[in-house]
Amino acid sequence: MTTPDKVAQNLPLNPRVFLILLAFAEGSGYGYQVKKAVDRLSGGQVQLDVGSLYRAIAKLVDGDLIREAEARGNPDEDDERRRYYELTPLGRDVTSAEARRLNDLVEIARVNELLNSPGSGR
Amino acid sequence: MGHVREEPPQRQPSAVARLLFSLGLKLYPRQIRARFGADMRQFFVDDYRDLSGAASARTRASFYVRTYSRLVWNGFGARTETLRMGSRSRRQPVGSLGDRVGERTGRTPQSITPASPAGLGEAIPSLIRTLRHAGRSLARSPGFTLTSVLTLGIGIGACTLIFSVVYPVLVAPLPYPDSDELVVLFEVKPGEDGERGWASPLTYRDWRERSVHFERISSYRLNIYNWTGDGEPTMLNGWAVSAGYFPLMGIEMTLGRGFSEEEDLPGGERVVVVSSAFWRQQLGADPDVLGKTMTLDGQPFTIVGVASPRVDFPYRGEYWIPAAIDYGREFRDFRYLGVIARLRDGSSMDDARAEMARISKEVEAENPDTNTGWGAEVQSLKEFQVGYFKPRLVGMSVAVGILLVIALGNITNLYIARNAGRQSEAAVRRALGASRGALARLFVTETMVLSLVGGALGVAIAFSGAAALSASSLVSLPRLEDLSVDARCLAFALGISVAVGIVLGIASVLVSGSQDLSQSLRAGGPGGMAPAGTHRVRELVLATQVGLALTLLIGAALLARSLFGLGRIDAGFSPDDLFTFSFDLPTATYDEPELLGEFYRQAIAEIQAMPGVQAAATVTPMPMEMGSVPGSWTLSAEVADQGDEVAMAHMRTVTPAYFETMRIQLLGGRIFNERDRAESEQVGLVNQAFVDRYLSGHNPLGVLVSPGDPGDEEMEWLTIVGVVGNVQFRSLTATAEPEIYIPTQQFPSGWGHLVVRATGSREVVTSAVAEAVHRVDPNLPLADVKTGDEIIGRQLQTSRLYTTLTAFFALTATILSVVGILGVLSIVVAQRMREIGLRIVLGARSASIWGFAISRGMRPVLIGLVLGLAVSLGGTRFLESQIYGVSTLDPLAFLLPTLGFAAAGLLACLVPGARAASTDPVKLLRSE
Repeated sequence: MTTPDKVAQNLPLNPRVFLILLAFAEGSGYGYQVKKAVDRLSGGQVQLDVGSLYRAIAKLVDGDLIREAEARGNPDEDDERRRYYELTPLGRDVTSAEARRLNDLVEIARVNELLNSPGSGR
Repeated sequence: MGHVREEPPQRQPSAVARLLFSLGLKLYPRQIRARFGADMRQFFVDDYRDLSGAASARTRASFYVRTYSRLVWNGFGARTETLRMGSRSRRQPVGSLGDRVGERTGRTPQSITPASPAGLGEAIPSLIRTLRHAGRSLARSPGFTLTSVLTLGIGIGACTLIFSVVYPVLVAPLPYPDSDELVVLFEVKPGEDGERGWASPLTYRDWRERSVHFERISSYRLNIYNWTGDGEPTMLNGWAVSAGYFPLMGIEMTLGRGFSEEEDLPGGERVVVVSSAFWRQQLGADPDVLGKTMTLDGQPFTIVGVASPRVDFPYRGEYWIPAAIDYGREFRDFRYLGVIARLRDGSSMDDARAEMARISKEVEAENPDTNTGWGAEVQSLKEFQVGYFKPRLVGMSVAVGILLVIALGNITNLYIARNAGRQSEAAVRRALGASRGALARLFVTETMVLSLVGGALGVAIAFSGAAALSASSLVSLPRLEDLSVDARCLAFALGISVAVGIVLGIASVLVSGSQDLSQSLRAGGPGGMAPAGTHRVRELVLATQVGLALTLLIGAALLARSLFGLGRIDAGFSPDDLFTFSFDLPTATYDEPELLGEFYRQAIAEIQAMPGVQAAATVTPMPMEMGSVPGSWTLSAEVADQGDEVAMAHMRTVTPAYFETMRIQLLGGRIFNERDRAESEQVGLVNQAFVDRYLSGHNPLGVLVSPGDPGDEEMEWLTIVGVVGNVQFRSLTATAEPEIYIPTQQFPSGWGHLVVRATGSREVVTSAVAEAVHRVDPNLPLADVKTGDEIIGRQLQTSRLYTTLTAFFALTATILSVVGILGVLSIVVAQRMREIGLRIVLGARSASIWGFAISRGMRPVLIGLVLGLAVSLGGTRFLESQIYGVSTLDPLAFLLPTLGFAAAGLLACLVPGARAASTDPVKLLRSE
């Protein structure tokens, strides 16, 4: 099992990395699927290019946040060349810790009445 | 996770695109490439597939640019980066904020450091650091830096200069609204004796009435008037156009209006629209100019409009008048109108062509006498204006492109050599902890600095080149009155510089990446050998350079041979000491043939009386000037029996001294004299080409010819009294055509050229002749002063300019290549000093050391020469349309550059060879 210490080492997450991990939280997938998922999750605001995505995947694999998946997606669409990845238990913990951290920040904003004041933001 | 919809696999990036992608991948550290290379390629394919479908070329282009630039950028990034996951967790949470949150929410967040990506704040100082470093590094090797900057400056400068010529002529749209809808129409007669002409007014009217695919059709015709204003009388070039001309072209009026349909009828009001330049320069930009009159050929014309600036179709004119064609007095086979049209919205060129073909068939059927075999041609206005120059400009662009590639080759080789010398430096840096990526960034920064400085120098070169070209005769190119290096050219130069910097940077990273740095540390001192691999790269680059430069040289040699050939052609007259002036007597003043005859007699007498004048005459029309139209001549019965009944010949009316003035040879019979007057026997002269074509086997003297059609009731016959030599009147390269000369006194015409053979400078002769003419008619302007050399030279101008530029680029390319050979060989010798020293110690003779140097240096040269010859053998046929009188496989043009190049290469080997042969092994080994 993961230790809180290991989880804390990984925080805070780069927002892009967080989006990538959130994409994996939906299930295993290969590179291009991650790109599409991040695209969707961010409402089109984050467009990952191949270089930065695989740099991130390399770091996440090395940091043991994701790993190559045994189980593949839909066998009809399977392609031998594609490598699939999934969250490790550590990755799942880090993602949810980051989510909580961000949620806490949102909470601060809410407590300071930043969320319901009109005029600010859009 | 949502699945990406799979598309059928046919949509794939092209092989080149995938290759580029794979090259880009090489920038990534090996551990990433090995693990993810295949997946990344697959990603690229998926990404492309998602994009395509209805993707336009523009979308695809921006996709590639985005993908490759990010790929390269991240590649460098990946190299600099160690895996830093989690390293940020060492930062302390912001205590006070956290405490407050804890107080108010009752929870303690694990960490609330704002998550921000690596900020720009770090990037800029780091960039400045790298820049400073690159600057220092370049300053340490001033020789390398200077050579590179100069070489790049030449390459980028040449490209920018040619861009400044090519862009406005070939690429930029014409300065009319929706100019791609504008077309010009011609009458053409395809086939063996094919002709292409302007249009007969009657046929033009048929086109106008029967076509539906044109929004408007207008005619245009050159019109020359003498303008008598307050000052000197001036001859003005203008255009007689249809009423719809201005709206058709989309020409706006700065003041006033264009022409009404009524004004375009015969006998309509005399109105005129003046050009913006004329209004400003000659009329003082008078804002109340509308309604004032201008005296043109003695007739008052009311100014109704001032056109907007920059109207130069088909070339610059000073005014426009309504064409007011009187169709009742025109002939089907008198084709002299230019016709321009605008395609209707939704109609294509093909529609227009099909329609014109149909109308031509109808016109042909209705007028079999005049129009049999005649059709119509539709050409885009752009093609009409620049089509002739296109192959040359494209050729020139290729030449400068090659020059740039050769320059890049040189710098790459220099860079490899320099970095080979710096390998130990690089190894030490790495040992001290500099990442490979940081070194790569340093290289790229260096090449970028080099190429930007080189680009700045290139812009300076382009500026001075453009100034030199403007001063020369490039004005013969259309739309180039104001050749200049503008913002667009600067952007182009910047673009090229950045591209060059990136290419060089990637090349140097790849080359340095292929070297094992620890090995170079072990190899030791600065004399250490470069790995065999880089040497092979250098040789390859060198051979390519030599091959490209030789190709350019051979092309230039062919063009030069053709030009010299043209210069030697006998034009049929002697251009030395010859001056010509054009004139146009106003018909309003000279309305009787006697008045014209009187003017010619007096004016020529006045001119001939001037000191320094050997002979003077008039001719209509002047050889090599506009206006020569062949007409049909009926031959007398005894000649016609055995051959053609009708001869096609160009007619020139001349005063008697014309042949003496031009020094045209009399081959038989007599020339005209003062006794050939209006009332005496009608006489004519023919040229040799006329005799060869129509009178072979006859004595031409005494043959009767008539300008009328065979069978006419009242034929006016004239007797041929002499035969003269041919004159190349169309162009130097055309074959001589039949001509008939008629005495001006028997057939006076009110326009033409004065030809004067006189000693003296152009200015002196011009003012003397003008003075003499003004004693006879003070209101007659003389225009368009030319010397005989200019008349012939103008024919050669474009060829000469083109050849000079190409030769200049080819020589520059050769010099760069030779410098490249010299540089590379010097490095090879320097790096092999130890080996050479040992050989000498072991008893090698200096001959074998020479042999080593020469074989090393000449190998890439010879490979390159073979390559260049092969490419040229296949490639020179593209020059076919641009050279005259020389085979595209002319042995001399192939052999001389090849031998010259080999000799230059050999010379380049001598300097390092001598250095190698004179090596003192003892000294060398001691210094080690």
